Amino acid sequence: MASAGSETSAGAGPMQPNADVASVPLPVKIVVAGGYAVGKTTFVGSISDIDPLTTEAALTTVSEHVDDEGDASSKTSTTVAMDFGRVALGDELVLYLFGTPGQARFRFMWDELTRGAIGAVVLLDTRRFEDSFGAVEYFEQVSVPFVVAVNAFHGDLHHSLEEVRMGLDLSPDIPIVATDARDRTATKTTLLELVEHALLRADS
Amino acid sequence: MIDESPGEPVNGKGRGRLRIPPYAVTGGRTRVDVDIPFEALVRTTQRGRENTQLVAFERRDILQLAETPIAVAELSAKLRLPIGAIRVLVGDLSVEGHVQTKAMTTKADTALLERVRDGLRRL
Repeated sequence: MASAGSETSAGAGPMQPNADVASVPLPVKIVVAGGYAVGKTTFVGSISDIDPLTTEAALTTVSEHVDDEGDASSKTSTTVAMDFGRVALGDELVLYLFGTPGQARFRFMWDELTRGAIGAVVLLDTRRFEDSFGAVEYFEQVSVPFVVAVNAFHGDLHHSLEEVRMGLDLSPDIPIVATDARDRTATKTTLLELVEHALLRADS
Repeated sequence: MIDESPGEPVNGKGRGRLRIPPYAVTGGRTRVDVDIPFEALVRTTQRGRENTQLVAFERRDILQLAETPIAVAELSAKLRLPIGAIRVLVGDLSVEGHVQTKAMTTKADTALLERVRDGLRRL
């Protein structure tokens, strides 16, 4: 299996050799979760090779759950718009960054998004950090590596990082950092913080 | 090649946000290969290139866009179709051998995380 054990190519029919995708970079993914207008798209765009694109997920699986509250009139049409970007990491890897809302009601999206993900950055505005409670709780539960990044608009933190940690009731082992979503270097540092954290967890 | 069923409503290339409902695009099916991750890279195979003119509508768009590797999410954004619809179409094309996809299926191991870290540092 050598080093290729964690990647796969699907769709190679019985007669199709894998040559076609052999030279294709391996896509890896980081999820950027945060409340409305917290700067997710700015964060993604600050480091992306392309202007962030928008995709819409229409969640067909929702229809499989019969909800006791019975919202029968609303078919299956729950849609979430997600902005995403792409960063080539050399020739063999390409990193995709997906922004997703941070409130608990978007949980169904996170199951999908975190599958195979390196981890998540929970982006937070200290004036409205309740918007990120859901995401923090979720990533702790499913044990996806994540860091909390406080977006310092105009360099201001309205609360200290320790205050935010207490407010979120964040485990001591989860990193919390200040960032600036507009700044490529700050974004890069935040992503590196996440990858280092994931590495620590993978080792233990 | 099986094209979309005749009489299906397709509003040509002038597009609003969603041209047709996803179930129409996918021929009524919604659960083929829905496990293809959003970031999976899709690439048209030799066979897909040979058959591009034999398939129609969104399927042809996908084969053309995937001449160079492109993610499922990017196909969704560029074709303005919900990602679920793209996954079904890509799933079908993949079963037919017209495209191949590449994605992580397990958690990243230490070696891969180190490659990502080193790649980020070099940015």
